[in-house]
Amino acid sequence: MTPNSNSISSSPRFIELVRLKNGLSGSLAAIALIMFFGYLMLVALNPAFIGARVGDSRLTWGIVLGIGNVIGAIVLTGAYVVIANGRIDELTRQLTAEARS
Amino acid sequence: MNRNRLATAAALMLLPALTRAAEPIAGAVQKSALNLNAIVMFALVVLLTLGITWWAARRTQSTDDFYAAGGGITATQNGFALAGDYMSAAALLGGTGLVYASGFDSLIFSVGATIGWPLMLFVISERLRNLGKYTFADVISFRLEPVRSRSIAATGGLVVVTLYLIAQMVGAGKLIQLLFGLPYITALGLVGVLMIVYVVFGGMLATTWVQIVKAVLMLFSVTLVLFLVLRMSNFSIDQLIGDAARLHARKEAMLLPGKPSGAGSPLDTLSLGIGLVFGLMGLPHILMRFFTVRDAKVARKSAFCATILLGYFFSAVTVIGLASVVIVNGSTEFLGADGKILGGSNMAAMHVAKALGGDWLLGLMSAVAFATILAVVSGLTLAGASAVSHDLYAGVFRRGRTTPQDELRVSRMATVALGVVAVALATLFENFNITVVFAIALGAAASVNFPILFLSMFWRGLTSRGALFGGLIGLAATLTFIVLGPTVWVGVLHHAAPIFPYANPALFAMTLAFIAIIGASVLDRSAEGQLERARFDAQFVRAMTGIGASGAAAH
Repeated sequence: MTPNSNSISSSPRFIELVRLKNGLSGSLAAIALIMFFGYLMLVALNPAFIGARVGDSRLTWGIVLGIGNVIGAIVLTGAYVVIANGRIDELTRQLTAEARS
Repeated sequence: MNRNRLATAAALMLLPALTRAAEPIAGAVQKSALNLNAIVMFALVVLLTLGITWWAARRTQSTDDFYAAGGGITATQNGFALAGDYMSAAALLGGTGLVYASGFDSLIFSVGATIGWPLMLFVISERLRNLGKYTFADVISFRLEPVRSRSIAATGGLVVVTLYLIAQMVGAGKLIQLLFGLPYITALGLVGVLMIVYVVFGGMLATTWVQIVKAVLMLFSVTLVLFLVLRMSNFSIDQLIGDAARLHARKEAMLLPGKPSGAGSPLDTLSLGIGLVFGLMGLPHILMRFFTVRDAKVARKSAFCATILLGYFFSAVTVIGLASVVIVNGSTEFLGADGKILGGSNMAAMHVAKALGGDWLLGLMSAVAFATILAVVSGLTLAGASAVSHDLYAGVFRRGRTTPQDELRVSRMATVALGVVAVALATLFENFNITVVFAIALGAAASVNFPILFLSMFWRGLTSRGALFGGLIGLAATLTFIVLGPTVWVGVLHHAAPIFPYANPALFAMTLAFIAIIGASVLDRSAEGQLERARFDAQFVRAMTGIGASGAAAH
């Protein structure tokens, strides 16, 4: 497909790109998985806590943490887009230009 | 009855038939059948979508246009279309209905459906866009032997899409019956004809724009209902929760996990979550949308946009669900003589619309539900037709030796065939428990498509033999666990106790699939397997950088 993929894969830019991209997506994916499955395990193992009120309000921990998960999902994807639009995209642009020349 | 069906089927496209068809349905349904607002808006939806198709048909000439809308969809447009695929009628009506019937459990489904999206973005979307052209099978066969790898990917894809399509159609038939008073078979025929027209003539461009229009309509109406709900409870969520807990059938216990989220069986809850999160990453009609944008960067932004829209949508559905408890149980208007909710719990959202906005809002919501059905089934049909024409016909049967015109002709034939099969099977399954069908579809997505797709992109060791063998194991495991589990063994076959104790098979079937794929790949000592592993490096460079990706040269 790419005749010069060997030269790309050994270039320092590519190595940096892989490190940054895998680091970013790996760590954010880990946060998302821990957040959601942690919540699910609370639901499964401690339902009393899920139904417990938060302070004086009628909101329960189950609702607050559930909505927290949804907001967390939005924040994580937003963070990914902002971070990836920086150095990662710049490296990709440089590598693409190198491959063309 | 039969004569009546034939008569209405003949008058399929004639709107007056909608009002006349009301007689066989009783109670609440008759009331909505006479709702003139609903019928006018229903007609507007049909006209608008046909207009879009007419516009798209003139722009759909190549395979690129048909499968990928020419690759020219923007990030925001694709975000709405992706979200639209997930905002199904089942999500709106079922989500609200689940709060009404069970309570807190609905939130688990909402959170699970949202949390899959960040993972889709981090793990799948960019690599997928960089490696594939039209279908996720393109990605899997990038370095694997094409006949074997496309066969298993297309099989997994078709199982998921066809079952989803049948389940959606059964739901659609019943819903239209309820909302507009059309006989079941007429409703199916109408949906089947419209979806075939959109896909055959307008391809992905029409399918995408129908989905976008529907998503905008859906978000607008949900926001309207949400505002009215909040006004009803003096903009106090506290008050709304308090009132709901007082009036709910489970009382305060509605705030605790119940049966739908696997209460009492932690492994079932975990397995449900795994199915929700990883099933998303194996849904062919969703994956396909990432090929309609220019490059990985746009794919990334569109996933962000979809996450925001879906997060909002599912949160709003939960609040509307709480209001449905207060509205339906707080008066006698929406309760039958037996004290049960009119039309079943799936009608809870409609009762809220009627109570807060009268016939006008009920009509709007009915039209939105109808538009949703049309948009979602067309996306599914297009994904299924692509698996048949692009993967099975062009890739496997003709071994890649075919012309675009030929492939396009086959994909249109496949669309018609799929539409006919879906309508026929949905007629057959009218009174079958469709949650079984949904469960198998989601299970197969998580246990066949996702493991193969994931390993093809992330693990050098994967071979086509491993993918084929492990994929079949994943499929067999999903089917076995569901048939022997509580849903079929007890729910359909009426045995006393299930042989497989968990309602959600994903945890077990997906793990088995991963083990089988990895095991068979490691044991694969063929020369072909060596070549497939050796091709990983070039694939990895393209996956990371997008250099050489399809569509990149044209821009």
